[in-house]
Amino acid sequence: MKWFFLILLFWSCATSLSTDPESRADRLGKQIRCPVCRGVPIADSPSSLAVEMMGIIRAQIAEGKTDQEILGYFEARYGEWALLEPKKEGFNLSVWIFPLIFILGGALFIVSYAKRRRE
Amino acid sequence: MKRGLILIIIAIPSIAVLYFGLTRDPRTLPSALVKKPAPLFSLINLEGKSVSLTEAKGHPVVLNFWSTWCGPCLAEHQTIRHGIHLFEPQGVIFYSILYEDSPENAQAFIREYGKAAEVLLDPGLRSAIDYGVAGVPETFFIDREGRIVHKQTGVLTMEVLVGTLEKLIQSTVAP
Repeated sequence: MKWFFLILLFWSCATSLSTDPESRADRLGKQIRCPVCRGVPIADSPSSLAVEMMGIIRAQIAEGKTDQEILGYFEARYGEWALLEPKKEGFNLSVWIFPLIFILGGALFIVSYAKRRRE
Repeated sequence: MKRGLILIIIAIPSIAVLYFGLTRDPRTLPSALVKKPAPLFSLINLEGKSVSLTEAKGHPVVLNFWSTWCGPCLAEHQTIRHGIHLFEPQGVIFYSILYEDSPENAQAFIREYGKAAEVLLDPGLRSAIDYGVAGVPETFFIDREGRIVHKQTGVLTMEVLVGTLEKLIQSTVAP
């Protein structure tokens, strides 16, 4: 089991660090939402718009653009909605903050309830 | 007292998140381009002539993305024709960028339903992507300074067309 996770970790690191342009295009394409299919990244979408967007990614990789520049290109045109992994800033932080608030609130409630029961 | 406070701490943000989420139309994509400079294009029209957005400098522009296979595009076709009749004399320029369609289909469409705006071809959908188009019809209103002031997703109604263009003409002074 331990070996399985080690191999999985090694494989994921190897693929994420891949400098092969096609792998990089696929990795970036997996981070951009298809405007037509919406629930699917452009790398997996059969729509012609997604196919053309993937073509733009490949062209920008060939031009030497960074990952952030390529993602920024689509974000500038389609908005943050286009990013399948929203930035951890502004309103998006609520996704991380609210569960903490609920956990803390729940814990406080349980502690105060247990105290009252003992009294 | 404490319990009430805890409940308030939990309830207020929850209600705020639900209000924010449930009062938005999930089908409407917010446009990242409104108030930003309109992406420039240089495209070929049906006559094979190159048309560039820079030629429209100093004029309000209505830029419509459409297809012959799109029902709502047919529905708004007469609206655009009427809009051209009303606003072209006031200096407004209308362009229609063909989306995922052939020039032959566009020519057949014009023969059947009449000519509206100048049709531009967008092979490779580069202009559609530049404008963040997700489908058709989508219409962009561009002011004299070349800034996008409004994006209409879906059928363009006469009310939206006239209302937006009147505001656009009033708010900007012709050079």
